[in-house]
Formats: sequence, structure tokens, C-alpha cells
Amino acid sequence: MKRRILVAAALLLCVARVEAQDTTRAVLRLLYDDPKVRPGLVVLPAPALDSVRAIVERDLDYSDRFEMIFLPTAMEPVSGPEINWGPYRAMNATLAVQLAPLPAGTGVTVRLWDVGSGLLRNEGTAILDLAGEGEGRLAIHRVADEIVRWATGTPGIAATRMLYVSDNRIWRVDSDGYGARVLTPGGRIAYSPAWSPGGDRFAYTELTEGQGLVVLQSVATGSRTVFPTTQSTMNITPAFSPDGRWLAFSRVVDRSYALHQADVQALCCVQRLTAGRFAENLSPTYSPDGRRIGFVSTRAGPPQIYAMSADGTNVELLVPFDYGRTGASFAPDWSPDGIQIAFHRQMGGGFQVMVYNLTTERVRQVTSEGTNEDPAWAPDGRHLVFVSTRTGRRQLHVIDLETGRVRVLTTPTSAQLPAWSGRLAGP
Amino acid sequence: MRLAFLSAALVAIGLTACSKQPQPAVTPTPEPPTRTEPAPPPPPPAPAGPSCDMVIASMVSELGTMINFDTDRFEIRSDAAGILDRKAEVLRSHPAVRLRITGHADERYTDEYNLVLGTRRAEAAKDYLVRRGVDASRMETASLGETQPLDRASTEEAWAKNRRDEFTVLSGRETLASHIAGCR
Repeated sequence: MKRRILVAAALLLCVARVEAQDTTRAVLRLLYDDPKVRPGLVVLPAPALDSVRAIVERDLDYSDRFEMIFLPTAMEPVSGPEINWGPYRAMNATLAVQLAPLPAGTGVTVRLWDVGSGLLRNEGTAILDLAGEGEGRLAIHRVADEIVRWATGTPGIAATRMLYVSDNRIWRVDSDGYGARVLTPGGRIAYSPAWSPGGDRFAYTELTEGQGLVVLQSVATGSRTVFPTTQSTMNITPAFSPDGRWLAFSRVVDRSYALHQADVQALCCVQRLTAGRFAENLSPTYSPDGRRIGFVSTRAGPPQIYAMSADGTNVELLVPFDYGRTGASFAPDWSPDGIQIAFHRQMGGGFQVMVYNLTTERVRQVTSEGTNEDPAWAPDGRHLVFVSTRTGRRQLHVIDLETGRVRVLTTPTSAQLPAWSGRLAGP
Repeated sequence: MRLAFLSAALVAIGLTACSKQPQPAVTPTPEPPTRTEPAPPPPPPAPAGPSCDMVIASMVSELGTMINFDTDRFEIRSDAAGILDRKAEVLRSHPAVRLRITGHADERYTDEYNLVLGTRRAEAAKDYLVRRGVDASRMETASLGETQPLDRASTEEAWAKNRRDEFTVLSGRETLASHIAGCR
């Protein structure tokens, strides 16, 4: 409520400023930072930049922060220094993105305009491969993320990637569903991929005839390191700590699965975190401050979501349930803002994705169509990727929890166990 | 059931053949001669060899018979108990044999928890065999969860097949005919 009043005040201020200096370019400071406010946004025609424009427009759409206004293809391109804002005002556009090529095709100039006043809000340049293919797409996604930051104060999530499992191999795909690429060798069984915080490598389980190894693999080079001491028994569901120092995973000890933590840099020092002989403990997820670990445990009978301190002490129930009534709960993922736990729970004949809010202590069901599993948070804490059977086969879907909008992330083959990277800095 | 019969028959064959008493009435392969085929393979040199191998093969097949489980469960069903009883008998009489038991799940339950379910199913079979007198150190367990379905269809029938334990002879295979005179 307080924020809304502030925004209103800022708006008045801006209007006053606009009136006072209507002939000069002024930088408007109004941020559309309320997650529920979606200003109308249009990406202006950019004839020489078709690929870049298409990717940026899609990214801005997928950010779910704007009411997108898609132009008819017949719309005349902007030529000359003056933009005729009349038609865009008629379309209820509040913001306009303009892309203009840099000399010699080395990149783009990006401008964010306030349509109502016709004033320039932000301007920047980006060096890009204008073809918008392969690794070059990430740089274009970063342009879109910066535009989202200009408009809302928080960067977008386009320059991210997902890992997922298809046919027992781990794949990588851009956040918009393009550029799917297989990362692990054929003829082996790879499972449960987890990103390192920097996104430069990932951990996963490789199942062999008798063991589950924890493997660390470089995204860029593909070089693999089997984590020492994981060759003798089942070691599954690895997860990096937010500072990248620790790897938590589940290992069979005394015939049941116990959570362990190991030093990733030194590749050593596996220590057991959960005690007790007759319960299964798996699927660890660190809180963003690295102090706590959420996990699945059967200590009370049915699998449910618990949490403990990162040293294994202070175990408590994390997501409440009614014994004998609530379905089994699996696959927790702690949100980047620290106050939400996404997971899936048995409902009727299948599973549904749930979000538990630690502040309100409420569980919210966010899916209902088909069976829906294995949610993973985007770095913005408002989008989740999950696996759904609603299209007839297992496919990745992305939901925006603010608007409820769901999109299918089309992958070449069926997909399971997605993991969403942080914002990627590298190529 | 049919397998048990077959293996019993083969054991009988092995007994007779390995005791080196020619009995032409019992032929291992009672197929009608095929005239269109070229010359049949030459008879093996040692009369005991192939029969011992056949006994071993039937024992390996007995030990390799899969067992199935109910949805989301790892209790040994009565049909599985019968299969495990026969394995226990073979294992007790062939102490050099070591087994790996690999548990599998169908695609419906949670992907990662299916690895746990597979481990529990493998351990359940191991526990059963231990109770039937097989030393625990002779068996190792593993799980492949839902990653290796026998039937990729999404039907009740396929899922029922896929919820299983598989059994692999790790060592001691060559001793599986040791109860037959003339075989090692």
C-alpha cells in the first residue's frame, strides 16, 4: 500500500517535470516495480534487425512484466529522428523499445521511450551478433533483461538456461526454448542435473549397474569429474550451496538414503548430515543464504518436506501436512527470495505443483491440468519451470505466479527434472 | 512355472549326460531335421561339455527370473516369493555364486523417489533371500529407478512389467553345474 502511494507521488512528479521541460529529453525515474503492474509495451519496427527484434520482443513478453502490444507486420518502420507517437498512444502503449543498428553491424543502440511524453527514459549500446543464433543469443537476451531492469528496477530472466533430462541424457536449452543441446554422453544414465551458482558447470547423478555416481561437468568444455568416494554406492540428487562451496547429496548408508555434504573445491570431506537408520532423506535444496537445507524425508512415514541447519542440526518440518490426509510431497526448491518453497504433492491420481509461503504459512496449488512435477525457480522468484503431461507427453512448462500465465517450453524430446540457472554472465 | 519345468528337465539331462551313460532316447534338442538347411554343425568333441553348459544356462536363467511389485510398494508378493524360494535353493547349493539385485520402478511415481523405491525393492528381495539362508555378503543391491523400462508404453500392463527386480550373476557362474557329476 505504501509503495502504491509512493508510485502515485512519483507519477505526479514526473508529469510536473514533463510539463516544465517538454522540449528536452528528460530521464523519467518512474519504475514499474510493483509486480502486479504491467505497463503496455511496444517494440518499435526495426527493419535491419529482424532477428534481434524478434528475440527481444519475445523475451519481454516472457518476462510477464508488460502488457505486450504486438505490431501488425504492415506497420511502417520508424525513420528519421522523430517518432510519431500518435499511433502508439492509440494502442495504449506506455513504454516503447527502439532498436537501432550500430555502425558496421557490430551491435545495437537500445532506447526505452516513455510513450505518453515522448521522452527518452534510458539509452544504451550492446555489441551483438545480429544473426541471433547459437551462443550469440545470450547477448541478445541480456539486452532484453536490461530493458526489464530499466522499466521495473529488476533485471529479466531471459539470459538464463535450463538443464533437463531427456532419455537419460542431460540437455541444455535457452530460457525461451531455443538452442537445445545435449551435454552428457550417450549409453549412460544421467539424472538430476543441478547448476553451479555461476552457471559454468553442473552436477548430476550417473547411474551405473550398481552405483550412482555424482559427476561434476563443465558446461563449456564438457570435461567431467567424478566426485571422489561416490563410486561405491548410490549417491543421488546433488545440489550446490549458493556460494558454490558445498555440494549436498543423498547417499545410501546402512541401507537407507542419508543426506551428506562435501567440499566442492577440494573434492573431499564428505560428511553425513542426517542421522537415523530407517528413514529416506533426499532431494536437498539450500536456502539462498546457505544456512538451511530443505529436503524430502520419510521420517514420519509418508515422504514430506523438512528443513535443517546446513550442519545437519535443528531438523524441523518445513511444509505442514495432515498425517494420513495430505499426499506425499517431493522435489522441494527454495526460492531466490528465501520465503517460498516450490514442490510437488500427490493429488488424486497424479502430482501437482505447490508453493509454500514461509511468511504466510500457506500452501498454494499452482497447477491442476494433467500431472505436474519437479518445479524449479527462475532467478526472479516469480517464474517456475516444471514438467507437465498436459500436452500428452512430458514437457517443460513455465508459469508466472503473478499472472498465472503458462507457456510450453518446446524441447525436441520429452523432458524431466528441469533446473533453472541463475542469470548467466558468460557467452 | 514353465521355466521351473524346463530347468528341472535340463538338470535331468545334465545328470544323465554328465554321468557319461549314452541315452539316445533323451535328446537335448528334439527338433525335426530341416532338409533345406546346410550341413548341421559338427558334434562337440567332449560329451560332458555342452550339457554342463546347459545346466549352467538353466541355473542362470532360474537366478535371473525377475520379480514384480505392486504400485508404489516394495513388499514381496506371493508370486515373487515362489520365484525367490527357487533362487534361494540354487544359491544355498552353490556358495560361490554372487548376485546383484537391481530394483526398477514404473514411470508414474516421482522421478527421484523412484530411485529410492528401486533400492527398497532390491533390498526387499535381498532380505527375503537372507531369511531363506543365503549369506547377505553374497548379494549387492542397486537401483535404476524408472530409467530402464522394459515396456515404454504408458499402460497398466507396461507399468506392471516395469515395477521389478532384476538379478544378475556377478561371479561363480561356472560353478552352477557343480552338483552334477562330471561338471566342475
